[in-house]
Amino acid sequence: MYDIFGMRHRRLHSLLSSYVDEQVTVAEAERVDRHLATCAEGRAELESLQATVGLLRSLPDLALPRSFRLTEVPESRPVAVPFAYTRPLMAAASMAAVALIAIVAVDLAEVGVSGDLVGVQAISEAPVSAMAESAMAPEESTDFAATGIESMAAPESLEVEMTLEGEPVTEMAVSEAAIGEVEVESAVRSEKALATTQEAEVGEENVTLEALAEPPPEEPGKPEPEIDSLVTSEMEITSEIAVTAEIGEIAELSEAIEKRADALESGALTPDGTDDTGRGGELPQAKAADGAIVETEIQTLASQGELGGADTFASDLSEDGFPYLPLEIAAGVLLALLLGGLLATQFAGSRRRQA
Amino acid sequence: MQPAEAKLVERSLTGDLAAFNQIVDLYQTQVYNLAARVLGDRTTTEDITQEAFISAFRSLKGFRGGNLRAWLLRIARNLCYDYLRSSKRKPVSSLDEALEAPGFVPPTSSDPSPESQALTGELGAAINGAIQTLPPDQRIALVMIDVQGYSYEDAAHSADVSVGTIKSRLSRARAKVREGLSAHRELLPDQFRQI
Repeated sequence: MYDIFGMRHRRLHSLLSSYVDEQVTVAEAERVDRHLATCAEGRAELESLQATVGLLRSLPDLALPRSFRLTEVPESRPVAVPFAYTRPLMAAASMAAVALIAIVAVDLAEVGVSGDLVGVQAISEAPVSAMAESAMAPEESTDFAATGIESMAAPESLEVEMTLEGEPVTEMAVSEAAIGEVEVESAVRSEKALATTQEAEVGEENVTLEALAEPPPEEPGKPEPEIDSLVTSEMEITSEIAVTAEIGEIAELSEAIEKRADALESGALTPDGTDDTGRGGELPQAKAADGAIVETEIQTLASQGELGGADTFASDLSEDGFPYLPLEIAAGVLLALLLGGLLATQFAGSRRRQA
Repeated sequence: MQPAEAKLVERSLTGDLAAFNQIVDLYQTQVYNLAARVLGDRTTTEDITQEAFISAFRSLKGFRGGNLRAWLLRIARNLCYDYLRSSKRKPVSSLDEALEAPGFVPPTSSDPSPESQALTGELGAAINGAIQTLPPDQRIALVMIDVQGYSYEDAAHSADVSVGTIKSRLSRARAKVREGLSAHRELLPDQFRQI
């Protein structure tokens, strides 16, 4: 009983601050009035509180030391959440990323590899030479790959976000603003089994694709997947990039990116995702497209012969390895463009932050 | 928003700096006082106040109409809060420590009356010092409502919290300021000796 009374006492005293400003309900005010009628401590606390508030409210305005008028028009704030528009390197890197993923996805679909989650990590502090290996059945021709690239054209406006903190990446947004004003941010999305994995290794020597390409091993009945391609790059990458992609969501990603670009153009979405005071910058999440759409696109392309006979959708990736990709040179070049674009944005962001 | 203010905003959006500076003239005292009472440091206060108006000019296209003053104060409030959090400055633990903290400059008043000057001298320093002992959320709530005279709703809106949260912060802030000032009762005017 005492504890309950004590709690009630403290509860009523906690209302005194709001009671001073008449910021309590009628019922609460009546309860406080009844309590104060019988509690001297409460009345003393109320008087003390009223004196404190009165003292604070009697503080006069401070004199301005100077005028805060603007003497010149402030520069526009750099876009915190960049999107790819027309910057050649960024656009090329974005298109290269989509085309590269599409090529690998098509080849994996064709050889029917099992669906295991695979992640790609490129770590470099030296000139980069990225190695991407894929294996195809010996009878696969390069014509197919070329056709595949053409048929799986990247969307005109690509938005890709990429975290540079070693976490899985789902999108990478690149700004049209000057490179010195671009910040690349990334977000991670990985919930399902993957279709492709590529590992990039850093080396100091430039190695040509032809020199390192190896023919895929032959195995009766079931060609063993093998990835063999090499890309060289002279650009240095100082940040660790982790990319995880899901074959079944590649087209979904492209479609979501296009939708968001349209929303930006129509004004439905602010370019940097900020509130009315310019605060915020959290990237809106691209909504995943319907899985059926992705499948339909793949199936459509397959029916048109664009996928070189891939009858089964690439939802299964075998544990044996990766499909051999005869277009190692093209894949490597595309990867180099992607990494180069990411490096440029990373350096640009660093310079802007230092400024 | 007053029609005249709406016109100033409209002209400012076209890059008319003169129009925007009229907005600055209208609200710079309020913004400066909010920052000064919260930050307790003159140099930082001037920087934050200037930054608030620069940020307001850049963000003007995001202003959706309504109370322009509340919008400006929200910008200033956010900048103050970010500064306090980013500078990792812990609230001073006592009023004496606050009065002795480097960078603390007793503010001066624009009101020449003796009462006003008394409140900006040693007593004013004591009050401001007591405010500096508060954590950022409580400090901002107390300054906005008790010192600046804004409503609970305005304070809640600027902090993006509920009125109930503001009430709680204010209650704790008042209790702590009262506790700090009670140790310097000799400085208090007679009518405030009940603290």
